[in-house]
Amino acid sequence: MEDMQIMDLYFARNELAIQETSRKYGHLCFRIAHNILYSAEDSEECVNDTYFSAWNAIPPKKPANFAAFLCKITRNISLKRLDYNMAQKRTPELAASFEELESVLSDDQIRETVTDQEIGAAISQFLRTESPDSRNVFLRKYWFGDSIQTISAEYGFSEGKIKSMLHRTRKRLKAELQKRGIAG
Amino acid sequence: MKPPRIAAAMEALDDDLISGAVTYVPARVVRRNRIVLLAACIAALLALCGFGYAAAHFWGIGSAKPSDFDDLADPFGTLAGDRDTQAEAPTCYVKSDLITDYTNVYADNAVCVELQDNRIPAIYFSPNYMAIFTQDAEAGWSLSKGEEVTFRFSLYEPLQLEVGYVLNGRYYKVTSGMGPDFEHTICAPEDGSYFFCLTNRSSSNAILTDGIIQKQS
Repeated sequence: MEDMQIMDLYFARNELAIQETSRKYGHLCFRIAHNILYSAEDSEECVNDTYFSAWNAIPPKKPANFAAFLCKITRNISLKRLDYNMAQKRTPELAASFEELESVLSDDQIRETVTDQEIGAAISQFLRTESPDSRNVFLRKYWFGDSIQTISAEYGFSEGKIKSMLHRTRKRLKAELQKRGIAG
Repeated sequence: MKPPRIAAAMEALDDDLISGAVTYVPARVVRRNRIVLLAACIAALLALCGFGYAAAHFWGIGSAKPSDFDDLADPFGTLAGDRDTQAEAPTCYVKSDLITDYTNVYADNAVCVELQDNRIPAIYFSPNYMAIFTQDAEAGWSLSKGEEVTFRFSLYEPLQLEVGYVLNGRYYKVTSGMGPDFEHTICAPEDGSYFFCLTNRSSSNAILTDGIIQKQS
């Protein structure tokens, strides 16, 4: 079913909307949650919470990009659940991802006046200047939380190449954020 | 331990970047998939050809060559010599230097089949083809007037065949009939060297499983 048709079901308050969302995006949402939480049970709950949030948000919201809308909700809920679950449950993969991102821009380097929205916008602009391969490898690693092995298998690059691409992209991102005055 | 701010800030990335990453397939993977698809197509094609060959070989589908005729090595026999005779025979298309007078001949082509010990081997020949049987070195059967020769053969499946002979370069029709088993005795009308012939008068390949041309003592 097309996203617009699923959206129509939400607007009609038809519970089939959840079913169709689950059928089309359930696997993707679960994967995002699982990459963060590393627990099937918690991930399943997060995915269900995602459907619930979507049900509550639509209407009045009518997201232009339904897939991204669901991914963001799932990620957000999963990160909150991760906080709640305490750090010991954090996956080594995710901890490594956070550390790598912090090497680009640690919390104490960020100017106090800069908001998360501005950082997000700067990263978005930076990613648009990157090659499709570098951009999507970066997103799969740091947004979706996929492991190097998973990206390597799906993108057909060696693990070494993926690591190298990520390293270079982080380096360029760091320079870009400093140039934009986001880093103090 | 909270995620770093930059990780949290990535929540604000543009939607199209996120959905783009969901659906993105690198060019090299597309290429690899195409190669895999192409290889699969080639493999399927080869398998299909193999199946076709097996079907033709084992079940005789799409071919006149049946599976149990192991000795069917040269289905059309040996083309009988002089092709230039066609130019001398404007009313027919038979290419055989055994025939010089084409008055009675209605066939597209002729093939020469040499017999061992008078036994007709397993052969097949196309519609409107004439099989001319010879003894060693394209020799005919020397018969005196009144001598009899029995012409016997079996067909893989019944169809219309014409039996005749060539005498002194001229073709004579004797009879015609349907198989699968056929027997006819020909009485020599005069002295001479006789070449016995079968012409396929059906619309499908004629398949002879075996046969014999036997001179009566």
